[in-house]
Amino acid sequence: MSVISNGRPVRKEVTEQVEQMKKDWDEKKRKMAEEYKQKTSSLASVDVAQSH
Amino acid sequence: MIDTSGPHSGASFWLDVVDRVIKFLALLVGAAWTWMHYARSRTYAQKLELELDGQVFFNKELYLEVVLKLKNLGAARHPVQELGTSCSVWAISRGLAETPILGTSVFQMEEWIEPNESINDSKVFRIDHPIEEIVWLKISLRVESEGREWNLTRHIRVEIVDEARGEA
Repeated sequence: MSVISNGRPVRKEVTEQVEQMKKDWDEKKRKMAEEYKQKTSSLASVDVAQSH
Repeated sequence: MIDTSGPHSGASFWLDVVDRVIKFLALLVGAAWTWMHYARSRTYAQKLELELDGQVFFNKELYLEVVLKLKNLGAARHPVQELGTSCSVWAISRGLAETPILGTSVFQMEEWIEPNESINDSKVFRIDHPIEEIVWLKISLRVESEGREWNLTRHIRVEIVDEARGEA
């Protein structure tokens, strides 16, 4: 799907909205990465515990 | 020596004047036509082609793959600006309520696009939202540059939601 356009004048409120969504997503990504790291390290601990 | 004091010397002078006036008017008309053509064709105005494609897949969780393309159809170089340029995703539920899921910068590797050049970007996201609530994903590409913005939005049906609901 594509569109060809000369664009339109910037709506500053939309710029602020998308920039806020970017910040929120960066924070969420950081949390998800931490959760994944904790999850995988706890799984590794379980593996180690089970192997002994 | 040429005698210019004959009976037709006055007529010759006025013919010369008329000739010069006509040439000047033709020049003005030509310039006006060229300017009008230039202004109306907006040759050097920023003209972009935006392309957006998205695909969802389920592998224990819901993932979204987005492919974005931007082509400069104008005759001038187009700067790529990070501020305000993004790919955003919303989840749409059965009641058609929209929940913002994410927004991310795109085309960060580029500083500008030359005329007729196209650039691509591809993103993969894990959708961290209750899958049983999602019916569509709304994907929006927004490009902002030098006081103007371009937008393209697409809806992706989350077909796998019924199958995934049992596993979720």
